[in-house]
Amino acid sequence: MIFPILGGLIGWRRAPITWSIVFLNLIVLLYTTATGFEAQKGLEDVMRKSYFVSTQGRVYAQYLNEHAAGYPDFLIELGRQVELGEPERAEVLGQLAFRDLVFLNDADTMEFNGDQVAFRLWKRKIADVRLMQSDHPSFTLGLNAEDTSMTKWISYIFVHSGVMHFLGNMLFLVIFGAALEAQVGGLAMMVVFLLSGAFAAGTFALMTGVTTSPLVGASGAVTGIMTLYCVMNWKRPARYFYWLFLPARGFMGFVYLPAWVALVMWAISDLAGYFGTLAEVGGVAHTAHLGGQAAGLIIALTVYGLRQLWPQTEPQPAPDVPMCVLYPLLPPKHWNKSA
Amino acid sequence: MVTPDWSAPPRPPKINFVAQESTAANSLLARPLDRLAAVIVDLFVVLAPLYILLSAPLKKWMTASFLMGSEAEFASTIAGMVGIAVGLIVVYQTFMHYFFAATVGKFLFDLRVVAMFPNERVTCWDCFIRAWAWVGEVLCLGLPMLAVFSNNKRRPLHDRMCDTIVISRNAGGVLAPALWEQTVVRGMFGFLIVGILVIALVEVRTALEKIKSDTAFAALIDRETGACEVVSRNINEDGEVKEHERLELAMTLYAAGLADRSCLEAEVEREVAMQTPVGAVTYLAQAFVYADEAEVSNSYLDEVCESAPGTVECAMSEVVSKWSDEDWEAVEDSLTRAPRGSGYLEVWGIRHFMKQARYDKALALLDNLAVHKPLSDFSMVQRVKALFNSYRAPEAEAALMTAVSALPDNESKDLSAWVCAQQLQSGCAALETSACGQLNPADGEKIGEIDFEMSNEALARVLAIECQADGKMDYKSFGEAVNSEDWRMFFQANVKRQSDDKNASAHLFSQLILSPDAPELLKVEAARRWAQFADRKQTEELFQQWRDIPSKEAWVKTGNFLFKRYTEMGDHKLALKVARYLMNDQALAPQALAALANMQESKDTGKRAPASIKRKKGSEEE
Repeated sequence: MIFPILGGLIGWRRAPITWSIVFLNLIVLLYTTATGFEAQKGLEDVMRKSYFVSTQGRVYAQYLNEHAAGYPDFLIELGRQVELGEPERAEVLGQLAFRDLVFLNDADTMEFNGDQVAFRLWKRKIADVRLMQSDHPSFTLGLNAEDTSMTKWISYIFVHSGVMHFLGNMLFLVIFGAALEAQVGGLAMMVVFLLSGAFAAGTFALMTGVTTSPLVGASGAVTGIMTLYCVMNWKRPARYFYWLFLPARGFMGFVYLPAWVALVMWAISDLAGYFGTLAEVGGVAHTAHLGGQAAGLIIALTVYGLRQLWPQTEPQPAPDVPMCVLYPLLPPKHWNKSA
Repeated sequence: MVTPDWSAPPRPPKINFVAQESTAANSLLARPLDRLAAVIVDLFVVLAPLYILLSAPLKKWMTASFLMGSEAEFASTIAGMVGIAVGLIVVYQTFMHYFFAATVGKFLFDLRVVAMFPNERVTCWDCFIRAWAWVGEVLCLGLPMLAVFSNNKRRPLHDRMCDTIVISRNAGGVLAPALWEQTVVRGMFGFLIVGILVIALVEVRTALEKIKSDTAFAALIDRETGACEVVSRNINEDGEVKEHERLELAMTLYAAGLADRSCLEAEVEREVAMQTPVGAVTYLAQAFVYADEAEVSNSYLDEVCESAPGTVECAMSEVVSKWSDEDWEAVEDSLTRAPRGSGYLEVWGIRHFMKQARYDKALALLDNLAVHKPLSDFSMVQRVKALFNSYRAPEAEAALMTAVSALPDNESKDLSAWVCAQQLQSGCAALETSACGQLNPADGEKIGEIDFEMSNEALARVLAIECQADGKMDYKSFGEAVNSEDWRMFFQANVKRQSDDKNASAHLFSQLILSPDAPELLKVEAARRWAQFADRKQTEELFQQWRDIPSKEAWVKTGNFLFKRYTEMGDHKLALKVARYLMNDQALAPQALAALANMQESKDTGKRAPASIKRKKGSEEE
């Protein structure tokens, strides 16, 4: 395991904007958790109801049969299996159907050749689901197929689906956001944060497509910040924490590697996630992350171009730290020898 | 603009990546932990990113095949992913060892792979073979790699195969393992191999047993066709199978307790698969499938009569609705009005009439069921019970003889035990009857030989042992030996009765009658025993409990015991009161009727109670 920690935690005085964003996200998290609790519970209850989900699977199977164009092959095949009477597949397809807004919108006018009781109950439940969704803050603030207006391209950044989601994103924000703020200033950092978030939303909409499952979280914006930092400090040694899975001396410590390593690591992870995940299934918006990285890259290149046109101050020299130094993997007497 | 505080460490020595002339002779051996750390760096830092990128499309394919339930595709993608992992490792190790004598991880820990013998060099082919051997060792859970602790030169199999050795270029290297180290590791290795062999043997044995049990007990659902196997066994597929015929049969078998809910579900799914149009019987079956979800089940029941009013299915849906409301009159009304011939409605009718102790009606429906071959076992059992409970002993005996020869062993034994236990309640002379003869109840003379899970048989055996013990039965040891709480209470009550502690005995029998899980026949037996010694006050208590007994069959039998007790006590008023209740349900036993007639003759009791007296839970005395 390897994890960038750069210069460690930078305090409120040196990175006020970063900490303000973290605080704002926390407020929004508390608000959405409190207001969305009932709706969230209701939605989870519905999604756990095997009868409802399998009925939805059967209805969706018939819908896919009639509207095959534009749907991936595996979904069509799954629909065919459901129509051939495979109940387990009906539940799987029913879960996947939750993301298809066009299908859900057609629920009121749809006809179904099959169990009419199940169909009636499903229609009633779907109406309940839509009602609960309209009360849920992830739907009112997140980017979803119901509402793709520009305000949602920003508001979704501040909403998180849970505590772990929030902590993960904020950890990276305080590491990279604070380091970038220390380098370029608070206002610039905030602009990069918002621009990257909006660009990430656009990329997600373009590459994956918005569904009824809302896009929420600051990860796209944070990825933009991380990318900009890494590009600006491309060859500079950055501190990484490593752990080689053994609780022995030397198997855990710090290593200095160029900043670009972090960028490459994240790019690989997101590219693998993008190529390795079905758009209809995945829970992580890899395309939003890639969009954030693209935004960071574009901003970095723009700044580089502007600096070429209007050179300002001399770039700061890189600190005198050699790359690829592991400590305390090697005992101190070894790396003091030539000092 | 503020620059971050880098707090750089003091400059360490510069690592020279250019290979020096290190040989096996002039170097220390690599420390095992350094080798492990180098492997971790190679796998998780260098190769993992490459692997997740290369295998990403396969991962996508794997997810899709998993969702579609395609086992072949799923297995092939797994194989593909393993192949990519192995290929990457082999190519990486071969390339790095041949050109640099070390992988990236080994560079970081200053380790080198060199030839074992002087004047030899490691060839590309050696590196290739070494990499494959390394992968092989990993597939053996890395156990062969433990040789780094036991081999004199710390060379596992892959080093020995290719005449290589891993050395350390810094002072962190180690010498050959000490003797104790070698002994410990070899011992551990031996234990591991023995452990693995034992686990493997146990697993093989378990698997064989599982295969055996799978073969012995045919699975309920036919895995190939997805249909219910018990239906497939009983349907006549020679002729043309009508629409919904299988589902109707499944409903009938379900009603008779010969199929479970999953069977109904499988038949409904089968109809979906066969594109059979949804009919009233489908909705009816769905109402049973979703019986645990009241809203869903009720919606289906409503739909049955909406889509097909006046049909058997509609009548059945009414029966089910009223049954759950415990509106027995309405159930009977629906059953009487409904058309005949479906099978399942008749079975529900039989169940209803047996439950309500209306054995004459149950027998009439049983006659109609004769055409349904799959229900012959069910019919025979119910016929014996109905005849016996309606005091038609000779006919019941004859029906029992027929049933015993036709039923499977366990069912015939249970039915014989049911009859025998009740015959023994009338006296030990019943040991000579054919029912008890079928059972040989005296066989289980020892407590350990009685299976108390089979409550009918257990009761018959206990009663038979009592007959043989002639009042000197050791209830205490029986009570200590049984696991069932209800049976233990039964024996304890008998111990108290033996020691003439009537109050304690009555209390325990009363508890047993109220126990929700106690077997029906055991409750009746408890009531019989209590009635035998109950004084006036206790009889009053028993009378109160009797009125609240939920099972009609147990209520009838207990009522007759109570009547007998009142008659014995000379309390004709209360005896008549019990008789009125029983007569109201046409449930007074012939012996009790005779006793009542004698009572009427000897003493003029005046007016008879009107026949409309109803037994109602908690109602005041008339």
